[in-house]
Amino acid sequence: MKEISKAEEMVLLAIRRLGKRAYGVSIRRQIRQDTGKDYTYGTLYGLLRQMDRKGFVHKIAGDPLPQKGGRSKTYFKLTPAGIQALKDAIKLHKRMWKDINEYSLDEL
Amino acid sequence: MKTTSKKIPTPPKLPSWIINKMAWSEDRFSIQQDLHEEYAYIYETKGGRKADLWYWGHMIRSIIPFLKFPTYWRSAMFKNYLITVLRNMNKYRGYAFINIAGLAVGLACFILISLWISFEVSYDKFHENSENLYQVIGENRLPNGDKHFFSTTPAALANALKIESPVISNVSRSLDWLKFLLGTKDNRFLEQVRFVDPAFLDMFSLEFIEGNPKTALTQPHSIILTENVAKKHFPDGAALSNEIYLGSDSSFLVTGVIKEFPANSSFRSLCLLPVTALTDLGWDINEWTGGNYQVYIHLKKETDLAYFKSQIRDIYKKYAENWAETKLTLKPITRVHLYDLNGRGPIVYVYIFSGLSLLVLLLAMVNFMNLSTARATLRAKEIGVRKTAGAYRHQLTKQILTESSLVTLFSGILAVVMAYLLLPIISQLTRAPLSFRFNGEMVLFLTGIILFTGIISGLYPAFILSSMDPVRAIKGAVRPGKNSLLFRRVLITFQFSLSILMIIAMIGVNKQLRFLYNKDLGYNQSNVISMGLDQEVSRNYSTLRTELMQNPDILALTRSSSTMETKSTTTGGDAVTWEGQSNDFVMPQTCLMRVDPEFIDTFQIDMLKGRFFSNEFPNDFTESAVINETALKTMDLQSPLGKRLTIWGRHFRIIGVIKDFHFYALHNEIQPLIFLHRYAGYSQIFIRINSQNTPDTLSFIRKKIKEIIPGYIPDLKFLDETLNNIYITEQKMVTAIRYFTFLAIFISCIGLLGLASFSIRQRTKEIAVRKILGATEGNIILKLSREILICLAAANIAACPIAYLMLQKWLQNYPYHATLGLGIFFVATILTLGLAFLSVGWNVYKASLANPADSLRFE
Repeated sequence: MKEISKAEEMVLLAIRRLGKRAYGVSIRRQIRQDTGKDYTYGTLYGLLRQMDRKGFVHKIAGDPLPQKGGRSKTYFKLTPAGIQALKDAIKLHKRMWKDINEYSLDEL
Repeated sequence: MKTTSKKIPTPPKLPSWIINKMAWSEDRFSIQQDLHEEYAYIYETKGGRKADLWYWGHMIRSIIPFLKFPTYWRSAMFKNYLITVLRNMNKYRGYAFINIAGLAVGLACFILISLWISFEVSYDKFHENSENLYQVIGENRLPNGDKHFFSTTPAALANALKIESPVISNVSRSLDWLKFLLGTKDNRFLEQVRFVDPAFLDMFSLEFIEGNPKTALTQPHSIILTENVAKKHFPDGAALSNEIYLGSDSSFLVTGVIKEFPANSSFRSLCLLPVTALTDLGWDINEWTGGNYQVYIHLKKETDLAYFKSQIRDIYKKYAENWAETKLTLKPITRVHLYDLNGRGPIVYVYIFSGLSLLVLLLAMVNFMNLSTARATLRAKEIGVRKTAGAYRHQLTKQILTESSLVTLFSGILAVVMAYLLLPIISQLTRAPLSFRFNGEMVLFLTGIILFTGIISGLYPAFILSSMDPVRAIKGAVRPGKNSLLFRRVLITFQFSLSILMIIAMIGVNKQLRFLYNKDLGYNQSNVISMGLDQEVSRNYSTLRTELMQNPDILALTRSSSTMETKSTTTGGDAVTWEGQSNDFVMPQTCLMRVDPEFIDTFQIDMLKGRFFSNEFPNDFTESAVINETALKTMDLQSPLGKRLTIWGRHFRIIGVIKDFHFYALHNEIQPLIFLHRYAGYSQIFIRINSQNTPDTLSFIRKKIKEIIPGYIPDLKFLDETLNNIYITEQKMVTAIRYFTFLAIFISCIGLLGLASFSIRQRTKEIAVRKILGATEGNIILKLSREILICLAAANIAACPIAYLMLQKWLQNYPYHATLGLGIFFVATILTLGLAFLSVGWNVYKASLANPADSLRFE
């Protein structure tokens, strides 16, 4: 399994936290709250497209909004593969940090 | 569509549009929506201005991510286009070959010419200060009001300039027309040297191998050699601090060895000496009278050039009386090579050849367009399917542009290989050391030109193909429209007009060159040997003469101040007056030539009246002059013999009139010429030899000279060869045009071949039906060639008058030129017809022989 990048991890986690309310604006806001990073929509949608192609997320059309000419908002949802990718990320993280914490980094 | 009463804030239009363009089409709407939502939020909480600012900032920050993320679908389509192109190429290998080869030839030609042009414009730019280096130029008014520019200046000018203007940081004189016997005691060669001021070394970027540039020219008896000269005279390699002899008795200390001047330098000196060394030869190096030096100045940075020019313009008035009429002006050093002082200079060739290379490229592009549109019918089904499957027209356009770019890319690669292989030949042809380096600039240039070619040549086919009606296309009912057929014919005609134009130009220029070579010069130039001469050789001339004349194969020898290639000293106006001159007549520019009495025998020229100088009349040496026929006509003398002629205040008597002969290159008309026997200043020895035993005679001459002038190894040249070399520019042009013409014809012919074979294939059934109905093979051939014939006829009608006018204009540069007969046009027409039929003939013939039964069964 190929590991996901930090940026992808952030987006996946934001979607996970938002649940059914995950769409462009909210995902961006969530990432800013959690990590302080201010992604542009260009970056965000780039990442989303990339992960869509890898099968980690998929798009769901929301209810059509009357004032937007009948087109609907696009929501994002994690796929099982996406959840698996996050699990792998945690495992990898734990393995990598085994026996090391922020205090022990300064020793030696 | 407002559903709420609240005013909906709208984001600024421009960034919104940009984001829309950049975004991936399927996410475009979502992105726009999200941005809008956030914009509205900021609008309400922080105000409109902040929101606008945020929107703009966001747009700018998004550019990179939008471009960075790989766009899967785009690349998927691209992959599909690529496969289609490759399949198509494989299926129609012949056409693919014609397309790629034609474009490759055009591109290779373009690349090579660009390399040459970049070399030509790089002249003298290697000097670190090249932008601030100028040559000082004199400007005179001719009697007819025209300006005449020249670079010669008196010796004291350089210093005066330095005193007058504080913005000059350095100034140097340069004198490069003196020849000396240079070398160690045993081996001496007649060499052209350059005298310069020490500042020359600061101004121009010369690469020192040995020696110190700061002190190398400060002493009068110092000399700087280039690497090759140093090796020639000091084969063991120790040139520095050794002595070398200049003339018979002055020795110079080698104070520096420099690298050879680069090929793109307008100076090509072999050795540099300080101007102060000239005082030893008895020269006054602070005079205001002569015109022996060129002056170069180095201006301080950020000098106001216009002000500086106005400052020095009238400097002669202040210092030198006899130069008072002359104004001064400047010429940037980087223009010295490309622009002549009077007239245009090599820049003309830069324009001509860039034009020609563009034309050849254009021809190749036309081929591409032609074949692609012709094949439109073959691809109609593919296009139809793509359209019904939902392809937009702009997508099809994109596809075809991608295809043409790909084909150009293949040709580009082939072109680079071709250019690389041809480079040595072109280098030799242009005498420029061209090199092919893959640096950033080169890659950028190649990418640019390939993209440009691909897009330009793909545009028209893209337009034609994408406009097809899908339903009819799939049914196979698409016939090439009348318009595209016409367009193709126009393109073919255009191609052949250009080819015919070039053929005619080639024949015309060639004819003129032959004319120049074969023109009767008025003297016999074969079996004449020339060699240079300096003061030391002059001093020993009578011994040399007696010794040489002992050999029966040496028929005559003479000294002369002229090389027979270029004009020697000229004068005119008030300086030349004569007995019987009408008051208002002023002598136009007149040439002076100093020669020995044997001149007339050496060159075998006849006298018109009177006699030439003779050793039996010792007075000839001081008071006789011989004029040429043109001078006689100009002076309008009835009985010239015995008339008084005054030149520069000295009196002579005219003793004879010599028949006109061309005493310099045929680029100019014969001018009035006056021969004197009186002055020294000879620069050449001419020897007429027997046509037999030439090698023996040459070695005899070499041996004798080395005996009489110790160590001198003369450079003996045959005059007829030297004269032919005068026309090197014309010769280069003929060769270059020949190559271009060949390329143009090649490209046009393969284009025609492709098109003809295609149209024959399309008409297979028609031919069969015609045959069944009783058409003979001849009828069929005629039918099939008619289209080509019409195109060629039109091309001829278009090209011939243009070619004629262009050639006439070019020939007007030459006072002596060949006459253009109708023959040229006839030859060009026959040649193109022949070549065209050679390229399509086989196909046409084969088609006419085909068995109708086979053709009709096909399908």
